[in-house]
Parts: sequence; C-alpha cells; structure tokens
Amino acid sequence: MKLPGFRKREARLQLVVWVYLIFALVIIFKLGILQIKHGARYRLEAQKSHFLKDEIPAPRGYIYDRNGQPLAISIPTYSLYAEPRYLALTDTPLEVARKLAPVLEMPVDQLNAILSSGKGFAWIQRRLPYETYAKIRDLGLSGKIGFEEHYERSYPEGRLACHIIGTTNLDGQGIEGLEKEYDRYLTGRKGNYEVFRDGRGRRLPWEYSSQPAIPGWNLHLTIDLRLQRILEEEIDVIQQKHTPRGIMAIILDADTGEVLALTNRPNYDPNRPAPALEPRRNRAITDINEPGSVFKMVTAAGLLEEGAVKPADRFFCENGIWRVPGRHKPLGDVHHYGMLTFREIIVKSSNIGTVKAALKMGKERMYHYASTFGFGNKTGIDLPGEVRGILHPLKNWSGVSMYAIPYGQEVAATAIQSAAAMAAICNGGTLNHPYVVSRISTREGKTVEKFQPRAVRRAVSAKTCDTLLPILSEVTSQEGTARSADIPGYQVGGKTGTGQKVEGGRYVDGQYFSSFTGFINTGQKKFAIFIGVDNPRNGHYGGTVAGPAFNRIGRRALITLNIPPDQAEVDTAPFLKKSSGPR
Amino acid sequence: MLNGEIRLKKPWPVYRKLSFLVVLLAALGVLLVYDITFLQAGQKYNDQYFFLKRQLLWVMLGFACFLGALRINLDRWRRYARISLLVAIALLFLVLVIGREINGAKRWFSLGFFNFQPSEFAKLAVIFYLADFLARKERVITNPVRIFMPTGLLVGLAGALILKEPDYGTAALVLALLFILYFIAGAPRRLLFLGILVLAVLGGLFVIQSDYHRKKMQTWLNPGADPLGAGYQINSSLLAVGSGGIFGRGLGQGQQKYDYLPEPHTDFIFANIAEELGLIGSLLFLSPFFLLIHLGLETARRSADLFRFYLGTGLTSLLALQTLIHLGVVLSLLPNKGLTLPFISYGGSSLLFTFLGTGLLVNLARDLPPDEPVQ
Repeated sequence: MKLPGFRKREARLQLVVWVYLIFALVIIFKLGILQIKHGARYRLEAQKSHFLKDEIPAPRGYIYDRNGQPLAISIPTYSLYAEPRYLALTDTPLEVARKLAPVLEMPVDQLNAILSSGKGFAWIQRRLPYETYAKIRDLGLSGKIGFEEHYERSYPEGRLACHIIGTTNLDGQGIEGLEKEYDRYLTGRKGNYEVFRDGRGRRLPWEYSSQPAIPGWNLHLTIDLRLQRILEEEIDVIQQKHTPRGIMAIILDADTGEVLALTNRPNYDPNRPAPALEPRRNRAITDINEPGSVFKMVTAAGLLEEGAVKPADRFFCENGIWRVPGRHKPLGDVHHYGMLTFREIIVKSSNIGTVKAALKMGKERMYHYASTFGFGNKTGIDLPGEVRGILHPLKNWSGVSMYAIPYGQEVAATAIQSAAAMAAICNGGTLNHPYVVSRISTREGKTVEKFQPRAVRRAVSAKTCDTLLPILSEVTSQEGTARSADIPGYQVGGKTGTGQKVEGGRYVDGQYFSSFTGFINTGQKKFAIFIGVDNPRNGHYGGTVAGPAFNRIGRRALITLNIPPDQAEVDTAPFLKKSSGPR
Repeated sequence: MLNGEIRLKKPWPVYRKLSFLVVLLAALGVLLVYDITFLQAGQKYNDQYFFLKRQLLWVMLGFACFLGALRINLDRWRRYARISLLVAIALLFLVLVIGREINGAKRWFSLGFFNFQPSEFAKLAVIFYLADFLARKERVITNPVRIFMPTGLLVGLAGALILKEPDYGTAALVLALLFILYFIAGAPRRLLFLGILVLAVLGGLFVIQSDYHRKKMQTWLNPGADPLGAGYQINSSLLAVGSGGIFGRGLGQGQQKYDYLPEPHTDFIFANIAEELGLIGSLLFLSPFFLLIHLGLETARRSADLFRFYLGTGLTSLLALQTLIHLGVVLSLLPNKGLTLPFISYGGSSLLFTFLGTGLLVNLARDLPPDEPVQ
C-alpha cells in the first residue's frame, strides 16, 4: 500500500537522510584525521600531561668499624600527608582526627583543621619514626591519608670518630669526612616510578615503568671502635687538663697503614652538625704545625741509613748555647749538655747535637730523608681535605736551614704525616699509605671493593730501624724526655716534640705545639700513635702534655686487644702491678 | 526442506533486529559506564560498581519503558498526542519555577532517587504531537497560517522554554525536529528557509550580545588559543580521541577519563570510546547506531499510515541527530552543547526516554508487513 503523496515525501526524506549521511561522513573524516594524522602527536601530548615521574629514595650505605659495629646508619622516616579534599568525600575528618590524635600526640582540633581544610594536599606530620608509621598503618584509615618515605642519616656513636665519618647535609649528601670522600658509593641510586596523575593532579594507584632504588654501598673501616673510644676518652683528659686550642690523635697499625683510631678536638655531633666549621675540621690531616723534635727521628734515621753517624759517636753540645754565624738567635737546648753520644742526643733531644750530626750528611741528604718519609707530600689517606705540609724544595733552603730543619723547624707537618713516618720506622722501614676504608660492600653483603695496605716506598732499611728503635725506646726511659709514656712489658718508644707556634711567619712566644709520636711493638702487632696538642696551657713540653695520654691509651688498647706483655719483661716489671697505680 | 539441506532462510524481521540492537547498545553502555567510572566511583563512594549498579537499574527501567511502548496500541494513544505536548510544556514551565539548579541550569526536577529532565520527555512529546498533527492536517501543510497556528507556536514555545533553562542543545534539537518533519511533510520551502534564517539571525545576535556565548563560540572556532582555560574541555576531548590512534589504547586503558574529560560518562563518552578503541574500534562501535538508524528509516518508509510514517521518521531523526550532535561535539565539529549518546551515556531520564522512543519505533516495526523471504 502506498500512501498518497508517497513519492514526494519519500524524496524529501531521502534528502534529509543524505544530510545525515554527509554529516556522518564528515564525522568519520574528522575522526580519521585526529586518529591517523595527529594520533602520534596527541598520544605524546597525553603522555606528557598524564604521567609524573616520582622518585623512590635509596637508603644511604652504612658505615661499620672493623668489627662490624655501625657508625653511620640510614633510618627510614615517614612523612604523613592527607588529601583533605577527597578525604571529606568518603570519611568524616573529625573521626579520622580522633583516631590519629593519640598516635601522633597532636591535639584533635589541630588535626581536624588540617583534615577538613579542603586542600588537595597537606602534610600532617613529617619525619615520623617507623613505630608511629606502623601504628597508623595498622589503624587502617582512609586511603586519602598516606606516607612518603625518606631516609635519614643517623650516627649511633654521636661524636665518636666524627672527623672520620663526617656528616651529610639535609639533602643527604656527604659534606664531611668519609661521607664526602665516598659519597658516590654511599649514595646509591634513587629509583623512580611513573605515576599516573588524573586531571586534578591526584596520583592513581598504578605504577608504570618503575625502577627500584639501589641502596648505597656500605663502608667497612679499619677503625676499631674500642680503640677509638679509648683514644677519645684519653684525649678528653688532655682537653680538660690543658684546655688547648685543639688536639689531634691517631693510632695507626704500623705494619699496614690502617688507621685504627683518629680523633680531634674540638669535635662535633654529626647528628646535629653545627654551622660552625671550626669543630668540623679534621685537624689530623688539615692542620700543619712545626713538628719540632719529633722530626729528629727522621734526621736520625737518615744519618744511620747513610752510615754518617753511629749511635756511640760523640758530639759537643756547646753547653746549651751555640752561636751560629748568619743566625740571629743562637741555637739553644732546654737542658744544657756538654759531650753527648748520638744516642743521648736523640734521647735527651738536644737541638745542637742533632744539627751537628745532621751536618755530617749535608742538606741534600737531609732533604732526601725528609721527603722519603713523606713530609711535604700528602699521605694519600682516603679522607677529604688533606694538605701536604711544608718542606721547602732544596733550592729554597737558606744558609741556616740546616740549623733548623734537622730538629723540626722550617718544616710543617700534619699529624698523619708524623704518624705515618713513625709507623715506617716501627715496621722496619716501609712507608705505607694510611687508610680508613678497608672494604666496600653492597647492602646484601657482597664485597665490591677491597683495599689492601699499600706501601709508598721503602724509606730506610730494616737495619737502620733496628738500630733506631732501641734509641727511641730510651726516650720513654728514666733518662728520656717522655718517662711517663713508658708501658712496662712492651717495646715502647717515641719522640717528643715541642714546636713553637708560627703565626704570620713569626714564632709566637708562649704558644707551642706539643706532641708525642710513639710506637708500641708487640709480637703480634705494631702500633704508631701520634698525639698532638695545639697550644696547651698548664705545661707545654710534649713529654708532659702528651706522654701520659700515650701511656694510658697504649695500656688500655693492649688490654682491650688482649695482647699479653712480653714474658721476660713482665718478670722484671709486672705489668698489672704498675697498671694498678698509673701516673 | 529435503533432508534439511536446502532451507529457506527467513531473515529476522525488522522489529527483532531493532530489539537486538537495543539490547546490544544497552549492554555496551553498561560496560562502558563501568569502564569509565569504576575508579572514581571507588574513590568517591568506596564502591567501584556505584555507577555500574545504577546504570543497570536505569537499563532495567529503560527496558520496562521499552516493553511498555512496544505494547501500546498506537491508534488509541494517538489521541493523547496534543495533551502530551501540553503536559510537556507545563512541565517545562514548572521546571523553571521549582526545578533543581545544577551548574547554573534549571533542567531537572529532583525526585529524590533521580533527577527528572522534562525536556527529554518534551522531545518525544513534540515528535508524537507533530506526527499526529501532520498526519491529520496533510492537506493544509502548504498554508502558512495553519502551520504555525497553533502547532508551530506550541513547539516553538516548548523550544523557547528549553532554551530558557538553558539547554541550547536540546532546544536546537527540538527545533531541528520541527523543521525536518515540516520539510518532509512538504511545507513551503521558502517558508522553512525564512524560519531558519530568522532563527539563525536571532541566534547570531544572541551569541554576539552575550560575552559568555561569544567566548564559547570563539573557543570552538579556535580551541588551541587558550588550551588550559576556555578550550580545556574541547582540548581534552580532542586529546582523548587523537591519542586513541588507529587501534586505540585498549578497552579500559583510556587515560583521559580520569578527570581530564568533562563528563566522561555522559556528554563526552564517545571521546573515551575513541581513545580506548581507536579508529577501527570506533567505527565498529558506531555501526549499530548506523544500522539502528537505517532500520528506523526503513520502518518509517514501510509504515502503513502517515501517522506512523511521521512518528518513525521523527523518532529515528531524534536518534540520528542526537548521535551525530554528540559525535560532532566530541570531535569539535560543533560547539560544546553537551548531549548524551543514546543508550551509552550514563543514566537519567535521557536513557529512559531513549528506550521509550525506541520502544515506539519497534512498536511501529511490529506492524510492518513481513519481509519477503530471501534465499
């Protein structure tokens, strides 16, 4: 059946259909343009606006002493945040605040104010410890409350060994000590993941292309925390008694160059590093002083090595005052001596005798031995800020240099240089690089790098050392300058030094750098110990200021390390008996 | 049927094809609404199925309407054509008075469990009324006065009321339906052209005098000028469509739906579809619509009487226009005048009346003479 007027209506309907069809074709055409021609561009644009790269913090590597005691650790902390705008949609802010308040120890009102602020994002409390984090997590609160994890550096031993370990800044970068020197290893690599952000900037719970964080590597030190503690305590005694401007003290394993303990005063708490730089300075490697008489051991070693002098050779010590042409002031000794053997010159520390002996080998040889023992050069210790000290090149030596350098003037050395030189004499003549880090390991405990003792060079022959060591031992005998340093039952010795402080190129009256550089030889181990006291009050001779500390440090260290005394000597001077009443 | 080897294939009758398409599209709608809303529903209501459940409810209600419309006796109900338009106009008045205002527009009655949008009802009422009117007054279609008194005025009034809400998209749709049906009925072309011209001029003046609409128009013409401000909505829509590429990101993998697209589950639902399905998938997705419209027009053409012809044409045109305008807006071919995509967009009276209207269309299709068998 056809309706009246069918054809015309049909034709008009067809026209309308054509219009629809054209519209539809235009739409398909546009769809094609957008998706084929511009598809790639739009997808890139979408990628840029949808994804946000977020970092995963990497815990910094730990630092351990040689026995695995932690000296620096990384503690995860948690910052609690809320998304108040979305929280309000699903939860009652006040209810959440009531639950959170007791855990956070925050007033409910304050919490409620944050949670109902309607902001997109707000910190509730930052840097919460793990326990608080776990408690809140177990509350099972709204998903609109979350944590951001960070790592915070912590130094469980506080000030102990602070100059070795160093500290980090707020960004977790090492700025002092090993933290700085080994920052690259300790830092680890941050991980990241791309989070999808919705149109309001909220993160959606999917991760794309995540890369896990790689924890920093651990440092295993040569430091022995027990010795370090002893050193610190004894240095504190000096600090109290002499209130010096500064102290530096080092215990080296003489055979290997391993630093067993190292400390300075003033020091600081790396957990709360003060902005002041003075206490942060690792004086043992950054500060130079004229070593004074300590240097005589270098002169003596040279003379013996050259065969220029024998211990029994006699020198006239001018009764304490020796006028040298070209020198403004006469050369003087503290005590006035006449004829002394070379051995006595060292033991009693006669400047005049030392110079007279040194003249026998001449300045070229003097310079050679000074530098062969490492003076004027960095020891290469793996701590930042080391300086090379002062040993003028030979061409700059004046006519009177030989009347100063042999007993430690006109040269300047760091504590680590003196300790290393002593270690060389003590171990039979090999100068070693002192070092602090013995091993680097991953978080899983895999060793990445191992550091072996490294010799710089042979400084003098073993024979020379065998001759020199007994002489240095006599320094701590009744007739020596450091009687108080002696530890019966062990081969102990050293050299005192009382250098005058130089400021602005002139000697300052009444200001001294008092030091004792000593060694302890046991059958098992050899130690070189340096104690330097910068500008002490209440006495200034190296023997009196640093000697007693050396004694106590040595004794306590030997007990701690359980190294028994040499049997023959115990019989003559029982160690335990003497230790019951020191000083 | 010897040995069952040779069998005359009897094709599905049109009404069955139509019903199948409706079920298919409704199912796609439920799937896509869930796809788009699950995350936000989970975050906002702690229930990722929040919108899915409601969409399912709407679809069930929709099918109830669909089945109801399918069964009614059109010849009996035809007498309510004029009344239904008057009721629609009354409701459109009422909504301006007691309607609920959302985003500055008063389009909804708040009925507690859902918001009823009288303009959706008005669209169907206008078609129903026009179909009845044009079928009855076929002979006076060339008489300008009889055309406009009272029909044109009544429909125009409905359009004006919808415009007042404001809901420009629906108003334009109603007027377009009026012109299309008039045109097909054979109204003088000069008159229609004049009407369009007058409306165009009025519309143009309206746009020019209002800052808001001028800006909106400028944005449409040049959406890149202010991509984060005025052009944000249309740009995020283009970004969604474009980043779909040829093959799409994959179902459920859309990204722009997460608070980038405005109204991702209603007015911009096709943007997400294009993003997830790509060009090929989108065309596949759109094919049921084209088929639906094709079958709707076939139903109209083959209808037994003029009333049914106009009704079928009107209902199909409504579906076609609504679909095309939705796509046009998403693709920035038309200014942003949010219209839902029939069957797919989330819920509300729009979905109900789409089902109702399609139910009427299937009702028409059921009255068709059976197809000739095809071998």
